[in-house]
Amino acid sequence: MKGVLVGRNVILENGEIIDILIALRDMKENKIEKITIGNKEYKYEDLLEFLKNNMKNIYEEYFIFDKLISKGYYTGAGFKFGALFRVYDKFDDPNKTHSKWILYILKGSISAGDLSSKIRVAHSTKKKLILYLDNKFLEVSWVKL
Amino acid sequence: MGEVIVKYYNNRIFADISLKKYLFGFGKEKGKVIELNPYECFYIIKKRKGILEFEKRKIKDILEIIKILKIDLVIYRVFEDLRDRGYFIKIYKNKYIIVYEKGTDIERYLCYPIHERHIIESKEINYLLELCKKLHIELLIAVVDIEGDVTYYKIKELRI
Repeated sequence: MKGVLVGRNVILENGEIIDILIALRDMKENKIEKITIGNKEYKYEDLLEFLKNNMKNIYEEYFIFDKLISKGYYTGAGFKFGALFRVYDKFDDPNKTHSKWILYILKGSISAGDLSSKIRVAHSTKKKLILYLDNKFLEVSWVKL
Repeated sequence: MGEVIVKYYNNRIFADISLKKYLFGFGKEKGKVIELNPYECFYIIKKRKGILEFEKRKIKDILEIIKILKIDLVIYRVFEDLRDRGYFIKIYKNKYIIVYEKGTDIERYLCYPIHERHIIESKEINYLLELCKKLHIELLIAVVDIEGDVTYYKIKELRI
């Protein structure tokens, strides 16, 4: 199967439209062979290199997405929680359970107020917060002392 | 209880050993005196309505005491909150607070006090996590809001 990248969507030969993150995982699992960007076709490794140099945000998102899924943590959209991803516990079935974490990337800095509001969102939806920082997954939780 | 007088001399703070039972378990015994750090001293003076003896003067004014002891009020607010909750604590590197498991001498947390307006840099978090790893304790961020309330957050690295 092949696809064409438009924005951050990949339009597949069969007419399906999927996000680039999902498409990359499908490429890794050999379900998609090549993706075209502009005039050039890319295989998986070459596409990663392209993204690393030209679309750093997507590259970083995929790095996190792929790492979690590869380790057995189902990872989905975090938009409804204002987060980057929602993450299920290891080997949990997303059709049967709720996600355990919501994940944000920490870039540069975060205000104490912003941290508080993210934790509040997580806590009010019975989840915990993960801040991704420099290849580390940091679980942040409110503590009652 | 008579007056609780704490003496500040040559950058060191002492209370007479006879005052030991009024010092909330703080300080280190050194012969006939108990040596305190500035935050322990300030806590004692505040709670006991005590006096700071400095350069032959007896000072009761809180603002002057804060200046003499160079108290960071954000750190102090967290120090006070933890002690009032019954935790045994000690100041570490002049800006963090080590929190012990209640009723034990086991270190549990490294607490980093910040104001609600503080911007936490990612390199700060990295540094603190390394420090906690070295000390074999967990990281706690304590946020002091404008009303003086303290909220605690634990940060730990997940093994994914």
